[in-house]
Amino acid sequence: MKDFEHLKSVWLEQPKDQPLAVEEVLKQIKKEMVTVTGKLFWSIVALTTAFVSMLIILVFFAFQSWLTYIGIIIMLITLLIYSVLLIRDYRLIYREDFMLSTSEYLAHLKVYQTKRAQLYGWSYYLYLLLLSLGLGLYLAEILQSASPYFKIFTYSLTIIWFLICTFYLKQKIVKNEQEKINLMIDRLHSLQHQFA
Amino acid sequence: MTKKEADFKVIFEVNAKKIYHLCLGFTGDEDAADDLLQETFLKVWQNLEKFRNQSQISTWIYRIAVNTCLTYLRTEKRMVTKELTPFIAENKREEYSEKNEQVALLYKCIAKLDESERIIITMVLDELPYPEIAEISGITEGNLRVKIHRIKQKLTDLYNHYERF
Repeated sequence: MKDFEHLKSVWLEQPKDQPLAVEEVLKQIKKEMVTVTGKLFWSIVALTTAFVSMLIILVFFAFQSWLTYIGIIIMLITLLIYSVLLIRDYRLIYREDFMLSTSEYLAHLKVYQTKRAQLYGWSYYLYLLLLSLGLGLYLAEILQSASPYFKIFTYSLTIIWFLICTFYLKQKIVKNEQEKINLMIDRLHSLQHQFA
Repeated sequence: MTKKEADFKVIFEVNAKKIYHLCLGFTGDEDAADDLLQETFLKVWQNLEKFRNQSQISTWIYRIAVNTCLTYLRTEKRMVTKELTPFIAENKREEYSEKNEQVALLYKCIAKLDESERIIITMVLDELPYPEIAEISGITEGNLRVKIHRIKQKLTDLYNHYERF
């Protein structure tokens, strides 16, 4: 019959191979940091490009109706707000404080979950509404001289795309993320319960 | 090499082995343990400037590792089962010395424990001081001592049971 001291000696005499060389780990870490910030960087680049393109259209093109200008300005403001939210999300996600104790980290995760739910809730619909309004006002003048069929086609395509984003893409992304967060919270709850 | 890289290197060399043991004891899988080790030290790197000597650095790293283990989810399998598969390399051809068999059996027994028990016992086996384990676990030292006594008994019973077969 073995006692605990025997188990400890087995544990301590495990093969002493270093699991990973420190240089390899450092290399992986730097690569990981580039990936993490890279994704956000390219999202911001894409938004900035869209913003600048809209700004060029606003400044260098003359439109007949003042409503078209209003539409472009609404889209510019919407893009700006979305960029700010994206940057805020980045700071939220990557400042997850793994140094906290389990109970503090659990509380932090719940706050994060609430903020994400808000983002995918009313914020998204407001964003969609503003974008639709701005685009609608803009397209009204742009498509003025187009054939009725082309107008119907363009408006239908835009509406279909918005519907796909709202009822398919968004649901899928939100479901995946919420599943992951819920599982993390469950496990931390279970651990708290075990420690109690 | 920058100062941060030099500091990181020292921190890694001192703590990596024990953190790897914690991750391996927790998951029972070498690949997962490697991933968790890397993830833990990624967070150490990201937050190294924030560390203000509020506690020992090993305590800080262990706390990161524990939270990382608990929130680690494989992309291909979102549901992580509580009962882990035993730590046995099925496809590798290994020299099964008696020592290797004993280590494999020990990990198999650790995998049978609850999550919190796995975390605590790997730290006990690595001879971390009890006050440090209590701080990492977020429980009082008194409570911890009672738990450790119970977990040691449970692990020993499991080991003796499986050794017979």
